[in-house]
Amino acid sequence: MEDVKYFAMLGSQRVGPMTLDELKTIGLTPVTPVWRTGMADWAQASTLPELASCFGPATAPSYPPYNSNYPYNNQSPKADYGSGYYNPQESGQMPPRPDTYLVWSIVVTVLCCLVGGIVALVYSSKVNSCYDRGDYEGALSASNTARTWCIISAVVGFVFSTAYVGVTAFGLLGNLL
Amino acid sequence: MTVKARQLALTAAAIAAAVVAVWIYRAFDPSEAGWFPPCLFKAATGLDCPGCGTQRAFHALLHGDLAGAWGFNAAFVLSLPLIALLVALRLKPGISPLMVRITGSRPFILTVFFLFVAWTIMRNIPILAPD
Repeated sequence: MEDVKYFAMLGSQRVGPMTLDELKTIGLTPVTPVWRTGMADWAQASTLPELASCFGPATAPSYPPYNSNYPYNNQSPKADYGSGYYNPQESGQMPPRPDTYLVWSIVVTVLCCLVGGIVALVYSSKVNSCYDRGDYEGALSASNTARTWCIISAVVGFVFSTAYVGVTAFGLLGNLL
Repeated sequence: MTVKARQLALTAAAIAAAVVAVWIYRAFDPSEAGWFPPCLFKAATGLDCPGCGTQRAFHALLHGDLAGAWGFNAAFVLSLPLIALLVALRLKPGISPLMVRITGSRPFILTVFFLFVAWTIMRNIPILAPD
């Protein structure tokens, strides 16, 4: 039991790895998506036997598995191409792939006047290669760094642009009066 | 709010923002108007960033002027079909798991990265600049 690691999705934030005791302290609801080593996919917290005590009498575990955000989860076995392609997630060793944020990296690169999108691309490229090596922590960290650079770029670009338009509009208004 | 409701709200907000942006960039010409935000990077360094010219290119595109858009920012024009493809793969990964895997791979993303870097360098060297 000591080696079992838990992950949970709080909103869009992935939390973990945690022990079972830590997991119980983060404010789970019966529908919080949870994953632990050994599971093939995320499941709602109420469906895990070891968490049953947190939610009282059995709630109906009739919800579909939480996977709409993870494109790789939707691959059917026969869609796997290449012989011997090893998908660590399907064998229950790792949580689903973290996002590469490739679209956002490209969007901020061509929309915002910062080079943050370029930096995000570097980290974006590491996500799946780390994951395929079995380095989940590395993949998650690269994914989060890519997201951070996208956000910095977008926020700085947006704030500057809005402020510029605001100040210019104020100036034009001043000229009219 | 549930995850689903939040996604819906974000999608609605994004569509609304896109509609407003299309209207603004169609109605006004960033080359003429004088109140469109300039590039922070260019203001600071005097160099063109990979996104410089996107506003003018978007205005040109909305008026059907592909050649003009290409001249303002070719990388922006080229990235549009790529973004469309990535978004489609993201929404419906089932249409091509092979493409999902290719576009998420390190060689693919690094290629995008190097193209942007090459583009940024190229457009700042007068002899190599496309226009």
